[in-house]
Amino acid sequence: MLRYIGSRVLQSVIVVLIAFTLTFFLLHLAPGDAAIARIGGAGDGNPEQLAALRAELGLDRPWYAAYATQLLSVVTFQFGESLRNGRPVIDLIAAALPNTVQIAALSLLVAAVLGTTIALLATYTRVRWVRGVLLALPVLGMSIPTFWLGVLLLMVFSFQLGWFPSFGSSDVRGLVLPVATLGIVCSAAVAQVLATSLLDASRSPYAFTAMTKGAGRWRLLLRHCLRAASIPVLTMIGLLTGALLTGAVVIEMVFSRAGMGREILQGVEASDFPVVQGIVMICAVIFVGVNLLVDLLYPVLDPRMRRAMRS
Amino acid sequence: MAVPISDTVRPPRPGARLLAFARRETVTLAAFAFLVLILLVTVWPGLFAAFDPLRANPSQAYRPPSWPHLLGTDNVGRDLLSRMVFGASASMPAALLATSLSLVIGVTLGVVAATLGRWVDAVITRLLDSVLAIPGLLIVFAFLAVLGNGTLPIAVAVGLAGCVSFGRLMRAEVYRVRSLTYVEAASASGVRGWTIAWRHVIPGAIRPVIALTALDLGASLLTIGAIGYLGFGVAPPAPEWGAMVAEGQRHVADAWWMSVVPGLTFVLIILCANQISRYFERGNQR
Amino acid sequence: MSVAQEGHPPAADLLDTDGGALVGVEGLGVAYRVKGASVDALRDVALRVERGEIVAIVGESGSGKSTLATTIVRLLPGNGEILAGTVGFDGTDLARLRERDVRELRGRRIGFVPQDPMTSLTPTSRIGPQVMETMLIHGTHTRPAARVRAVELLREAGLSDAERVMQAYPHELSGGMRQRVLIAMAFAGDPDLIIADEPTSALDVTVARAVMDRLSLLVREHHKALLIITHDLAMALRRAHYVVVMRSGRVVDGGTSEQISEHSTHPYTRELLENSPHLRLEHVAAAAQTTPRVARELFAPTNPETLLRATGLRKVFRSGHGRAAKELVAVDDVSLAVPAGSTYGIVGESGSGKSTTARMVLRLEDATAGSLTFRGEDVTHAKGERLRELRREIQVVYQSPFDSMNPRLTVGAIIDEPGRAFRLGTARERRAKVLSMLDAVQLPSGFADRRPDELSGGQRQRVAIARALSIEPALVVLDEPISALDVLIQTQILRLLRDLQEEFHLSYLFISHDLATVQNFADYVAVMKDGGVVESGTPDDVFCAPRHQYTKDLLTSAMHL
Repeated sequence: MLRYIGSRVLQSVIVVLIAFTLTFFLLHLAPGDAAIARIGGAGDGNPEQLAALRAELGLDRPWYAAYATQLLSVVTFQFGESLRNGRPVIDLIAAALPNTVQIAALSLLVAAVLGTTIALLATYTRVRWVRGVLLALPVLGMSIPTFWLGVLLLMVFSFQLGWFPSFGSSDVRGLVLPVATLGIVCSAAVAQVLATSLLDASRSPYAFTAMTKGAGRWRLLLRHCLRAASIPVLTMIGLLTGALLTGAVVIEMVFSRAGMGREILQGVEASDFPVVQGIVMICAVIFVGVNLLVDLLYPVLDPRMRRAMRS
Repeated sequence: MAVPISDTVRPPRPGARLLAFARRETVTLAAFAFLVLILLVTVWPGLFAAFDPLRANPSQAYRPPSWPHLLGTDNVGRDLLSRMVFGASASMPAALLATSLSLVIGVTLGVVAATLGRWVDAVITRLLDSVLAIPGLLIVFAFLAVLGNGTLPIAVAVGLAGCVSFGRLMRAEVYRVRSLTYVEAASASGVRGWTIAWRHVIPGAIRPVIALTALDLGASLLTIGAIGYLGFGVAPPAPEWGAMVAEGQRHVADAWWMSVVPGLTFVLIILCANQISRYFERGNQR
Repeated sequence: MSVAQEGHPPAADLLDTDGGALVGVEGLGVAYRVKGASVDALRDVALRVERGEIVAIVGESGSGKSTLATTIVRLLPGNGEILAGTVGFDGTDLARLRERDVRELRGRRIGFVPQDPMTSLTPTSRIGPQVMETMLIHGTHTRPAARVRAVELLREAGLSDAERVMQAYPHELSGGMRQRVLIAMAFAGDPDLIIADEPTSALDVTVARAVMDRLSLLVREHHKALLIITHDLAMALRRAHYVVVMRSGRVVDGGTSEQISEHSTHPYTRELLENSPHLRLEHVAAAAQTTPRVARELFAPTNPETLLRATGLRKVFRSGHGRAAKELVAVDDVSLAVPAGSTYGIVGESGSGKSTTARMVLRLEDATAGSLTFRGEDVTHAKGERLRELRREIQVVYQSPFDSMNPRLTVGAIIDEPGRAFRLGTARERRAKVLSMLDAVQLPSGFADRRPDELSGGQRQRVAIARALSIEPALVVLDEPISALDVLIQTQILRLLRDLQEEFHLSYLFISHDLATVQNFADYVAVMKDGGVVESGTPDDVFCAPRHQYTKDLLTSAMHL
């Protein structure tokens, strides 16, 4: 068991390293000059200033030295300083991250609950049209752009009905619409995966056995099918992390909320590489971390995997 | 030691399979037709737009959907339908390019990984995992930060981000099909490797790839739309669906159709793409 | 008891009953909706089971026997429906009950032992809760009492380590153990009737016999009625009081075991009796002489040409790396010699290594040690072109008629594939070859343009044989070629194989788990167990005068199943 945990952790570290390397090389390909970008594209800063700035930014060193230095600093969570305003990137992220994570996490909760409910109801019901409608919901949900749903909900619940604020507030009411938007969109994926695997499980030979014992539908679904069917859902949730993070970024812009969305957009517009790299790395680490957790949860759900790990 | 198989014969089907197919798959055919329509709109916008998408006409501003502006007008009086039609050429080619890129790169990586195996497989899998770890939108942001604004960097970025799913799928399919009994039987019959790949492995793996392509088209379009919403991509006043949603958000009180129409278009196109994907997914029993 | 037979009067009652029958099915009609059309599965079926009686329903695939079993417990799949008739159980018509009421009977009054032990237990639950479940659903025991009872049940079912089994997960148990768990589960509600659906088809013969012995014992001890669904007529005649024969959804014959085996005049029943492999084995042992075989030209014992010789073959499978690596010895020191023109049979249960040996002969696996010679030439490590040349001489027919053919190709293309691979002749010549092969396996030439899924299992297997023979190999490896087919079809295919052997001067390496088939079909037999050959010789030597204990066990199990 320990071997399994150890190997998964090691793989996760490697993945993060590769991700860092990829972003490093991408940003290093920049045709523009970071020093010029810092000055603001004024274009006529005198050459000595530029050279001094380059030295300060470390742009005059060969790439492998820069790589090593950056790697070291990234590992210690020092992402350098913003090119725009010189603030340490880590401070920027630390200030913005909680907002984004808050939305992402709450949306995940909503998605899990909503998706599971829809899938369970769809599998439980024997009325064909009800099942049809319930299964059509995720299909629709996967086709709706997150930002558009946000605008729609704003239109109806904020402008028309006035129930919720329309932009960035710091209380609970301001969270409802953003979380609802992202939660609904992500619940579609959860519902679809779970519905499919629940349906498969309910048609399996072991479901038949349970029914020969006199089990009713709820017992069948909850006691026999749900655990096995949850495994692909767990995988899905791991993958959803990426969508949740980007979704949170987009949602922040729709609802004018503070968070990493604003930071990264400003960073992109200003070609502020340290900021962009920092945020990308943080997201990658979160993604890898969540998936590592998912991998560790598999044996809990599926006893067949426990034996595989023991040997 | 299995329970015996029945020995009843089933006669071959008569002709007119096409008609039965059409009746069974009306929804899929409708989805396909719609997508063809969108393609036509992308390539020949002039055919479908009655007005100049860039021509402002303040007197006609904020008109709800009615004649002659079938989808209404925006805040400066531009015909929404015409803007939608011309907006297709901002999003659709980019989405198509992105998906093609994902397909080519992903399938190649997947096939190489599954065929060469061992450490090549391990390296490629780690590589794909790493790209997966970086959310697609952020890859686009990184590209934009480096290369500046433009449709091409966006398309390339989305394409690179999307190759992961193709890579994983292709790898899994090659492994799966290679272990099928009839593939081994062909090898035992003396068939050479390349012939086996061409006659047995590839046809077996191709349906799920097509299904994923359709799905990925929808996903690429969504990402490109989001990028447009956030203000990147083609520059205003050129129409772009995502940007139009953003514009519409500012005038939600006066002209709700400005946001709703572009969004609905996204939904329709992606629904159709997903329907086609499901069709190929369903027929995939072998 | 009586059963509606076609035009025959009901048979005399065996047991005296003081009430109605436990199960009384009359005029039952069941159909499935497939792609809009209605397909009949049962037509006018009648059945009676008295309390304490053992009734077996025997039929080939498509006979409707499984449908009958699932209809009694009202667990037809979504597209199945009862069209007509009654399903009487202790006075109530189950066909007309509400689902809610039927659910109360399931497990509590009617126990069901499902078909495949490997997939019929919930993989994410321990055994204990699964055995206890019936009692908890129907409230017959409190949880602690149910736990105690569950341990009892498992022990009665033959699992001596019952406490440990309670804590185990299904995947930790063997097939035989899982089947016993299913039996324990069926008894948990103390039902009056137990339905066992193909209780032995997924098990090795020695395990199957032990399981059936235990089931029969339990049924007798607790005075339960037992309804066995099986395709094995021999087993049915041995174990049941009363046997019902079904075909194409109808009951065609029925009577006590004695009536069926001695006096039945129904042609279908007679055919089944004559072709049942285990029954032939019985006759062999009883008569202590060979059963009538088609007289063949047996070659002289000192035939010079040994086509294939394997010496000391060994195959070790390694999984994992480093310290955690596991080794599985699948084949250990196997030697055999196949003379030209003969049939060499390898018989063994699952895990004996017989299939792996066959695969090594086919060079689909590399031997870890040992040598293989073909026509005197060493081919142990043949690779590349040499291997391809070898493939011209050694061909294979797989067990599964479904999986071994590409469903997208036409039959003609499938048969043509080896010829194409070796570029034998022009396209026209090969087309003629395909037609002549279809002829040789007794399939109409029009089949060349059909696809595999339009053919039946037996027809597909003929196509597989045609494919193997199309390039005129010297040796054909047949890996369980008839195990997946109905009994009557099995005989046909065997006859075909024998005819082809004479016509094309073939040698066969015939792998099977079925002793009777090998006894009848092979010229030499090797019995394998746990990777090694325990006994070999002519069928007379091995089956009539076995020396090794394992062979003796196999024979007695097969004859007493």
